[in-house]
Amino acid sequence: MLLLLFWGQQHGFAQFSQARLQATGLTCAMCSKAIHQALEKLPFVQKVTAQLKESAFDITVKPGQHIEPALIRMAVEEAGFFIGALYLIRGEESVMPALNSPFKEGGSYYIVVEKAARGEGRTCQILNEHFLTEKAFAKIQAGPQGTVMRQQPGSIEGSIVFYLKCQ
Amino acid sequence: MLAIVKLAAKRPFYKQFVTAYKVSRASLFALLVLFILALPAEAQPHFQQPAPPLVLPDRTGIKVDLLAYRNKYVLVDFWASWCPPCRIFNRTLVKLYKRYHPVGFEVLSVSLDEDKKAWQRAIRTDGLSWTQLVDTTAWNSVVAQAWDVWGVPNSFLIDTEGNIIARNLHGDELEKKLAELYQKQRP
Repeated sequence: MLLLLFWGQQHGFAQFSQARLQATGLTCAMCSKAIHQALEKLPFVQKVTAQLKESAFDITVKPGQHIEPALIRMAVEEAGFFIGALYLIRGEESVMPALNSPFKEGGSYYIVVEKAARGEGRTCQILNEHFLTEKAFAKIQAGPQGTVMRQQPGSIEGSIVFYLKCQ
Repeated sequence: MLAIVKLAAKRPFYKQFVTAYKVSRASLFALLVLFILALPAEAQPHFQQPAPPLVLPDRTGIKVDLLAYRNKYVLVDFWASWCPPCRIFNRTLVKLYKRYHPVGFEVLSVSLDEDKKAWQRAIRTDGLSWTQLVDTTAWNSVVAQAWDVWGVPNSFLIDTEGNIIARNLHGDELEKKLAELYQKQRP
């Protein structure tokens, strides 16, 4: 039983094994060496691949490591760009976190504020400010998700809480 | 500048140097000027300077050397299949290649694709008929580094002697330049 609990802590919450990042800026973000290298330098990043169709970067997380959205934001902004959208993708074997209840993964806290009726909920978009375009953030703030987000804690133990919309 | 030299002249180190090596103040000044001029040069390719080496495999795996293109104007274009502006620039290149290749213009595409399949697919889709080179080390490419390529698309116009004469001419600019170059060549 104890072993099972331990296993759960080690693996059950090592959920986000991939991420998809859309970056914005004055120039083509995908076409810049700076952003590529800044992302690849992050300790939890195994591989960064540019995708033409989605005009996004696919980020693979190193096995046993945890993605830290705050560090992704820092890397993107230091390279001279902004986050247009950041999606965290759970591994197939992972468990869907409960709605509106905070959980921790690595050094980051998350709360799923919305789960689409359809889909497995494996792809979760971060709804916090600076993690989507200003326009999209304003729209979310004005909508029902904004109301839900304001009812949740903004930070836990001094760390920012990332609000997720999973589909 | 003069102030710096004057200041340096007041320092005992300078005086020792002058007496020990019997150098004139003027020659030291000339050295200083040379040093300052050399500062921004670094290892980056500059206009009217010889193009850095470029030897990479083509679609069949055979290594192609830019040196083989001497006596011709060549556009070296760094690109990648996943780069939207590069794909748009390919359209311009197809058009200009068709017009100026018969009079000697060459294009050498250098892709930074890691995925060879995606690279080949893009070549077919965009209808690129000239020599295609690839460096699958992508942003770690030693060639791209030597050419000071920090983003794509990035193109260099090389003259008949192997010197870089222009960088990142887009659309109309490139068209104008080619028109000018091939106008000159006519007797």
